[in-house]
Amino acid sequence: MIAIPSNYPIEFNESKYNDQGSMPLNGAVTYEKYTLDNGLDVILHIDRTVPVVSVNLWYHVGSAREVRGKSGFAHLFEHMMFQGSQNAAAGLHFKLIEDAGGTLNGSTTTDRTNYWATVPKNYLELLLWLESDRMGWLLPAMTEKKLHTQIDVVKNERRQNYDNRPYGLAFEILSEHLYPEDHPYSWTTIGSMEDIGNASLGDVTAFFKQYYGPNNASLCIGGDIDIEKTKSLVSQYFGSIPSGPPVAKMKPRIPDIRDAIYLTHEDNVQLPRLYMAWHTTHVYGHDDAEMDLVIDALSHGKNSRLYRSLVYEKQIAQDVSFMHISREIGSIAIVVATARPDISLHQIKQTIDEDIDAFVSDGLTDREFDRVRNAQKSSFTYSLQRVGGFFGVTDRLNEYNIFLGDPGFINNDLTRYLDTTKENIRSAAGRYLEPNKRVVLNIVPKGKTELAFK
Amino acid sequence: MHTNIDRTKIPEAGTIPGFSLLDETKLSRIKLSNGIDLRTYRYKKLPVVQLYLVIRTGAYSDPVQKAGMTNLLSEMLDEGTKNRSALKIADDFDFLGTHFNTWASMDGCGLSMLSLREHLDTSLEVVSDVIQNPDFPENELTRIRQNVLTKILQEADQPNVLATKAFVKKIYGEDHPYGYPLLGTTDTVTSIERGELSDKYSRSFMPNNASIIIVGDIDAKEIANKLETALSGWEKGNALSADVQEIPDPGGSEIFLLHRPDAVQSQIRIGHRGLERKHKDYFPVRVMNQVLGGQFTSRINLNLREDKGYTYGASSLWDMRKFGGHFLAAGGFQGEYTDKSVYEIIKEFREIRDKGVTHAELESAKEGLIRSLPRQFETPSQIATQLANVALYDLPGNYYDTFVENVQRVSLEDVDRAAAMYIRPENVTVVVVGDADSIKTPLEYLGIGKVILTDAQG
Repeated sequence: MIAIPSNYPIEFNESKYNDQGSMPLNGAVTYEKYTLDNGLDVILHIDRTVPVVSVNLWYHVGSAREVRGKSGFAHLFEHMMFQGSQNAAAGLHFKLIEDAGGTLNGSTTTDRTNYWATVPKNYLELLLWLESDRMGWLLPAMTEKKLHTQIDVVKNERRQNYDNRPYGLAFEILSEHLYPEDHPYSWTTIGSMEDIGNASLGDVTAFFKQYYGPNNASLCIGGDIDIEKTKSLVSQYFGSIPSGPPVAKMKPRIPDIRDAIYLTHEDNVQLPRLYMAWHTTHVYGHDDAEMDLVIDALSHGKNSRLYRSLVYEKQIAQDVSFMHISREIGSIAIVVATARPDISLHQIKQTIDEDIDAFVSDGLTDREFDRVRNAQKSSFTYSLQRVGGFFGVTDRLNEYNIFLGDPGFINNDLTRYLDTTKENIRSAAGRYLEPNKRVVLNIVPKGKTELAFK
Repeated sequence: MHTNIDRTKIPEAGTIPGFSLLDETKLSRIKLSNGIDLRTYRYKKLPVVQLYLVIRTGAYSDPVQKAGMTNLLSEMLDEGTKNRSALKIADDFDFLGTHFNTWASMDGCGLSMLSLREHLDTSLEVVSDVIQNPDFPENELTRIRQNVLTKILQEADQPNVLATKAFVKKIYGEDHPYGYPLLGTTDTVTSIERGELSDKYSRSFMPNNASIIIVGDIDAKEIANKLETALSGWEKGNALSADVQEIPDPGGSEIFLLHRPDAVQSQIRIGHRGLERKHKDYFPVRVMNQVLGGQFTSRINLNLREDKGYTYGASSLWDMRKFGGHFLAAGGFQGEYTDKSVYEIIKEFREIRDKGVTHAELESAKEGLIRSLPRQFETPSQIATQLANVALYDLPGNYYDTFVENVQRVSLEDVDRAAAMYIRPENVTVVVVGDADSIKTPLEYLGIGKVILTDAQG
């Protein structure tokens, strides 16, 4: 992520797949996909609501491709992609897009790196020039000075969003204990201070050559476009970029936790917070949609099980959230609850455990079953409002293409949620949310370890 | 087959697309019989309807001893009506997949709803109940009040929030409602009682003090009829009048330092009193700020992030409200560069005040503002937000028709004059939240003003 002034950065941009589905109520999402000779997938999507165009480019590389000792590099590299290329001088990228009235950003997750920009439609060629130049001609523009400035910027990003933020290290601690040391999900996308500081220009070159070829990318252009003209521009700008080496797909690698792990971390915070994380499946895998629905029923809205018992009735928690983070080589479900003053995390954990137990034994009520599916259906329609940006239509077409090889899954995805059964949902909860298969992390105010669950 | 292109040249922009921001044929404004100002915009891409309720009374009307009242009122709207319990309201919305929220700001409050077209009637039934019949049940108030108090407690964890809170307190002082956070303080929130909330409700939630914005797949007359029926019981009245005092600016500069032991980063706020939203120089100031700190390629961000690497991002903004406003530059900076960051930001203030902007900067800022408009009118919620702002700040009905013209008209002289008149580098309030042990002395050496150690309570 780049911090854009007056448009504060999203802090931790893990892909979330909860808001997706299929078939808008007034017809399918239309698109056209083809592949250039160099392997670049191109997806075109027309939407003439406003005269703008959005270019969205995914590279199928994230922190999961890093090795221990080089953590944070995929994200640092994302920053370097904004530092100019052979024909687009340093600083031009932001300058030209902001002068065009456009907006842009990029983000790195464990599994992919994306870049997007939205501009008035007459600037399409400008975006294609910028994107293709850094895809084909990045390295001649890389210098030690640029790298060191971005190392400083990223270290400041880490200070701001992790080290200096309340509970900011929770995800890093959980990751370390959810995965074995040689598993790339055992570190976070931001990486360690030390590794960030050790990055070299040689690393930039090697990473670029290995992972930033057109054959490892997917380009989606959406908005008020002319198909034939766009195809011709894409071919002119991207066609001559040589393929990179083949990049093998990563296979799911989901560890098995046999005995629950209990951790306590003291932080500069007022209130203790409980985190519990379980391994589930992998993105678009068996049970993926079911686990999304489990999480909805347990924590979305005032009538969800956990919100109602912890926040509304017992009033022992300030907030509770449950996330299903679907990822390519292993998804996790994490519940996070902040205790009210003077409440111990023991009480919080007990209530959550009781609610999950009841859910696993009795399943959903009919009303809950309808509610979670209706929510998916309406969220899907709402999600089609925006063409560009994070989670806009172009971003999602790329996501389906990168992970499933089929952008058309945008029109089938909702079926996974609507066609499942109450029993599938209940049994998925039982399979994954087992008490002995989790990492439990207490974050407590400094000196108050007695508030932790042990 | 690849045609040869010349990569060394920046591609020419094609023809600028014609675009009317808010197509007049889709826009309408209707006064409902009980006085509601209804503004609608027809959006046909998806079968959805977005509703915004704008009440023109905000936290500026809270007595300072009751700061946080408007926020608490808005949070209580959906916590029970004469017909529905809090859980029932939530369940009614969630079951339909309707998104519902309440909002409050210094200048207004209200609610928003996003519904599928097919569920509009049922959603409206619940929304109109929430608007007309909130009951502020005592037990729910106890819970929500506790929730707000806990949020205030948690703000002590967030250096960025502490910095902004301390900054507005110093800028507006303790007698001005803008000097208080929207949530209020522990003391003020604790003291707010049910009777005060229902009183505030009945003196601000009146149809003649309200605008409703509808953007969606529905005809203006049809939605007007639905709202006439749904809100027929809502009665007119005399809304609270504003009694916001002008407070003179403090002279000189001071640095307020909030100590966070071992903080690896310093949150910095630098600025002074600014302008009200309807100020005649709104456009020159907006253009000037684009150059100074309003975008990624602004002077402040390029200097402190891209050149020096002190920060992940720095910016400046003019918070322009109904009754005045403030100007500030803000960001989180590496602890050891705290003094240098303060110095560089004030240097940028001085530069733009003394030397103005270049012709190239002016053109780029103006074009950027104009060309960014279409993408801000893409979704129903974006369009509704724009219309809500026009309603809340009582801007001219043709505000967006004339926006482009108004930006284009801003000259170099206008921007230079605005910078010279409104930026006051010698009269800044600086708030730093960071490790005082290591940064106090360097801050004193800057010679900007007295460094005053302070705590979260100010």
